[in-house]
Amino acid sequence: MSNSIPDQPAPPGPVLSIEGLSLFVRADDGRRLKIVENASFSIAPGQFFALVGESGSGKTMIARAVMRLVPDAVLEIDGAIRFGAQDLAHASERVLRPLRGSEITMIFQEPMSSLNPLMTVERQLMETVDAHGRFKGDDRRERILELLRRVRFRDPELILKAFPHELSGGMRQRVMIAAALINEPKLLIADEPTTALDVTIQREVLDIIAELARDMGLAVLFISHDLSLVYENADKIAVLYGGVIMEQGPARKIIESPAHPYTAALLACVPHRRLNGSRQVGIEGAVPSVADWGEGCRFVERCGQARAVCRVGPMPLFAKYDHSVRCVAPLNDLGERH
Amino acid sequence: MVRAIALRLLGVIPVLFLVTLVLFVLLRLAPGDAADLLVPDDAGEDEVARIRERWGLDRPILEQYWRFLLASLQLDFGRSYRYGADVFGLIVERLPATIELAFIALALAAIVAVPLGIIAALRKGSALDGAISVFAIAGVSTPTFWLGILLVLFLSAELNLLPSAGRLPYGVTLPHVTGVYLLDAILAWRLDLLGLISSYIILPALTLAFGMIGIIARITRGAIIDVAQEEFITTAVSKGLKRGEIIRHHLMPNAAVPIVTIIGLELGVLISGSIIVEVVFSWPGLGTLLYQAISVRDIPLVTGIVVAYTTMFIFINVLIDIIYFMVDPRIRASQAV
Repeated sequence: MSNSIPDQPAPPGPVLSIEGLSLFVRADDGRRLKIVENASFSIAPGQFFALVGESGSGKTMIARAVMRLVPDAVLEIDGAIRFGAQDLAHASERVLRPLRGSEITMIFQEPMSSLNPLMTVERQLMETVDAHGRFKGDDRRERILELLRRVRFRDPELILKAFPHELSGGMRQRVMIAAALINEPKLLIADEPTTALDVTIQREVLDIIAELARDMGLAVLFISHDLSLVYENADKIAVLYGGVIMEQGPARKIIESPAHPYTAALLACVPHRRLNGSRQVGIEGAVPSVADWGEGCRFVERCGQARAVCRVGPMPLFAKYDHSVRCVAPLNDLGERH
Repeated sequence: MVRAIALRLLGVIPVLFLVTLVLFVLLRLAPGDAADLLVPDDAGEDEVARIRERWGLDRPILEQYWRFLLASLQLDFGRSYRYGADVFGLIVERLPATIELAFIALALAAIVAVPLGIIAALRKGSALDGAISVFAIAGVSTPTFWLGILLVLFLSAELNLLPSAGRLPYGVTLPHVTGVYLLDAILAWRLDLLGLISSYIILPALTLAFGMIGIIARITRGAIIDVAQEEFITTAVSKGLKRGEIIRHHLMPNAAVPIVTIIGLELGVLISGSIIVEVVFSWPGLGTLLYQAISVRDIPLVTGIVVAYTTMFIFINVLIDIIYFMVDPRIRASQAV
């Protein structure tokens, strides 16, 4: 075999491609609970992909499964998680470790607890750089300062010497973003990075992530429970409910013509889409817990359009181009049943 | 930080004041006084009264306390009834033996217990973890006097492996510099004696260490399990750090505060709690001295030794505080006056 095939501009494949992913957690009593069922989606280079769902929908588990942050003894992965040509779902630690923090990085929901309280910002950033050796010697410090400037710190030298407890939540999250981007990753996973922040700072942190991702050509898997937060920045949106991707497609299509009753209900909850004087609406009921999942559509108990067929068998998947929906009776015609 | 430490040290004064007051009053509330013990059995009442007067025991208790307080500021705790010698001198003479035993015991316990705790935490739920728990409970619930006597009977008397009493065999002499024999042997460059000295320390130290291993291992295990669930550990994994780096730089330093605390507290308990073990092994330390002093109601000596114990206990706590400052910037910040 030869490696000397001349460079050909291959069509850019997806950075991340998730195929038929099911996740199972092992409960303390030994039961095996399915928390995500047959999820498939892919993220192209530079694409901002929003995975939206209520708490308990399984979105955080998908994020952590991609990086394999949950021990195998707790989380069982079925299906494929392809990062480029590599299947991460069954990769060993030796394969995963060099990817983590370098090719794939992650920021978390709680900036208050995601930094080590005993280390200065400089040490925490430096160890991220040193773990992968992409920058050496004096370049490392330069790189760290550059990243701190890019996450909009006015006095990065001062931030370097700070301990986490000396920073506000928003500042800590910006440090986390700097750490996540310092090694020029291909994929950033952001698990509700703004949820724990003050409303005024949420927007700024989101803007920083979106802006840097654009500048660096970075693919982003953005996890959120809040559709209104992501629809301005997202290229694609997937809506997760009860461990099932109900609908996914280009952000514009999802927003303008949702095909799943659940997506439509979520959109109705977004404050500024309300019609003048109409009352703020919520969705009646709550997400069914894993133990209560039955046959048929998981949303059936809360769906305004529910029929008898919704309670039977697996839901059909309808798709037109890159817009797909898993529903017996989509709200608009997506053509082919798959 | 310097100021915070100075404040801690100042806080020692009222504590010592209270301890001595309570001690003084309690010892004198007990029925009978030293005079009864000092005089021969056939002495008359007038002789007892004479002795009382000579030692100032006929004065009001508060006056006695005041005189004690003034004198103790000059490290004068009076003369031992039993030995007739200066109490402070006696304490200084016996203290190194106790300190040596305490530190060796603690070092033994920590060297065994901290790694055991780490292993138990990293293999939580495994058979090894269970075995360590059983060992820990056995250690805590075994009385030291029983274990000490058992070791003496088995290892010394039966197998004749290790000496059972004292610090050195009769006839072996060592230049007395610090009183800590291992240190003295090194200072005098008698390295050949190190083995012999250790053979005398090992049994009492092991007896003391056995009870502590369990506690320190359990606290270490708990601290590490707590820290391992922290989000910053997940962050460290997601940065692609090696397992060893995560344990050394993230897990251990954050688990250090409770571990340092328990080791410090155990040291305090050790220094004052080695009395039984010292007596069992005829270890010529402060504990043996206290035991003898109590049995003859040698009040000045008992008072002096308890003050010495209290002082050491308090300073160990100050030392723990200083270690906190060094380990945790948040504690540093909260104390920056």
